[in-house]
Amino acid sequence: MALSKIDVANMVTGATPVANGGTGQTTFAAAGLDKRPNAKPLIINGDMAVSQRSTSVTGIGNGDNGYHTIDRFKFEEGSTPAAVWTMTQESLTSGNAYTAGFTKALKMDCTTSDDLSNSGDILNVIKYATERQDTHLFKKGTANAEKYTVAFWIKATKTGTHICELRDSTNDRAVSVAYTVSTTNTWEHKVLNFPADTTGAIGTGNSKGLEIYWCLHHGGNYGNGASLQTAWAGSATNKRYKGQVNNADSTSNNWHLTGVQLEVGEYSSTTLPPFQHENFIDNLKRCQRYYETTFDYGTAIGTSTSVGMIRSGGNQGGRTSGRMGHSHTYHTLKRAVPTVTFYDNSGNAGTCARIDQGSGTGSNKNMGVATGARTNVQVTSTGDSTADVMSYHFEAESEL
Amino acid sequence: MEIKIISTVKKVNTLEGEFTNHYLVNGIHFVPKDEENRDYQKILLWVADDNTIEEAD
Repeated sequence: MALSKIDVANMVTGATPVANGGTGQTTFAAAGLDKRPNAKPLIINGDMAVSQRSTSVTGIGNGDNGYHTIDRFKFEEGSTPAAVWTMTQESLTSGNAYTAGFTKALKMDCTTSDDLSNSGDILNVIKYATERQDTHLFKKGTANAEKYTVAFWIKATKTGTHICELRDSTNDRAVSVAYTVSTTNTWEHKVLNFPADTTGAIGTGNSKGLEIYWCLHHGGNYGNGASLQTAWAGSATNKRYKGQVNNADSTSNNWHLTGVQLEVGEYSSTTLPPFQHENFIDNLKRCQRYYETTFDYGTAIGTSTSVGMIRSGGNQGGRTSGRMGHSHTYHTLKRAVPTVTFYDNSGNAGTCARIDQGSGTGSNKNMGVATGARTNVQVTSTGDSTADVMSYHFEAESEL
Repeated sequence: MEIKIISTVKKVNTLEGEFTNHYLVNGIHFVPKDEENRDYQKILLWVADDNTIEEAD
């Protein structure tokens, strides 16, 4: 379709050109585009588009620390909480977050409530962690330390006070900000300002750096301090989530999150730079630094399927019942040497398939790592049924 | 797949008997000896709880 009008005047002044006379943001400065010191969004998968492991997991509760659905967003628990959740990658088709440009969200559906009668150290949170080397642009621990803005869309059944926390795990320092969910089960955009911290450099390297926590519910020991810790300081457990409502006090409760962005500096809802949407593949590739699998996208890990399996090719020495080897190069450099779990074509964990071309596939065969690196994994099947090809699925995990 | 509870940890050697720098956890997960790997950090805590890593077969 040909453009009927290009706003040349705005191009001269540096404003965003608007096709067909539509309404656009007027200048790069107003849009915040000249303020970001980074080219890509600091938060990977902030639009919740990528969910490699699964799109829905039930029964998440006590002992279930980990990454279950949405890439890079971790469920963490403390002590022995009674609450149980279903964690889902939710598809959006309406609501304020949808009209703001988001089609996916992280949803926590409370399926077993927790009245906190066994309170104390109970805790349920959603966490996002950055690598240290990706956070020095905040100049934390220097005289030029920057403020932080964390913005996100939230929809919660529970109205009232909710808490978001920034943590510096290098120096065990933290700061919390309270925000209000005003209307039940309605998408609301929150823009939270966190102070700068001239103490405690986060450092460099691939270890855990800055962490963002969203509290779901907590026991008394996380909130019985005198006040919320609203200035950076050594972490005081009893001030972390003071005032947080209990999102787990009813099985009717849901909690949804999307559009997470972290910006350098202090912004309001009117000056916040636009969310930096990445296309799906760019987003997926950034997630694969932390998790990669051969199971086809959308296929549950451990499914009985040969779709996506790696094949070693013909064995150089012909058919053998002895050792067979293969090397697989990861899609991107992993954060750390990953934990690798193999699966055969029947979904048996810890095994591979050995294929005797012409005779058939043998499942549940011996499989192991010969060497592992951040770049690739060399695998070996050390001796089993006669075959000329080895075939396997894997998942490689190097999350924070 | 998250490693929620560690039951067994065994060294993984090559056929030539050299340590591969990996441990086999619960019989299915190959965890590298890399202090930046969070599963290896879990192994260190497991060992600190008086558990013992098995030698390779």
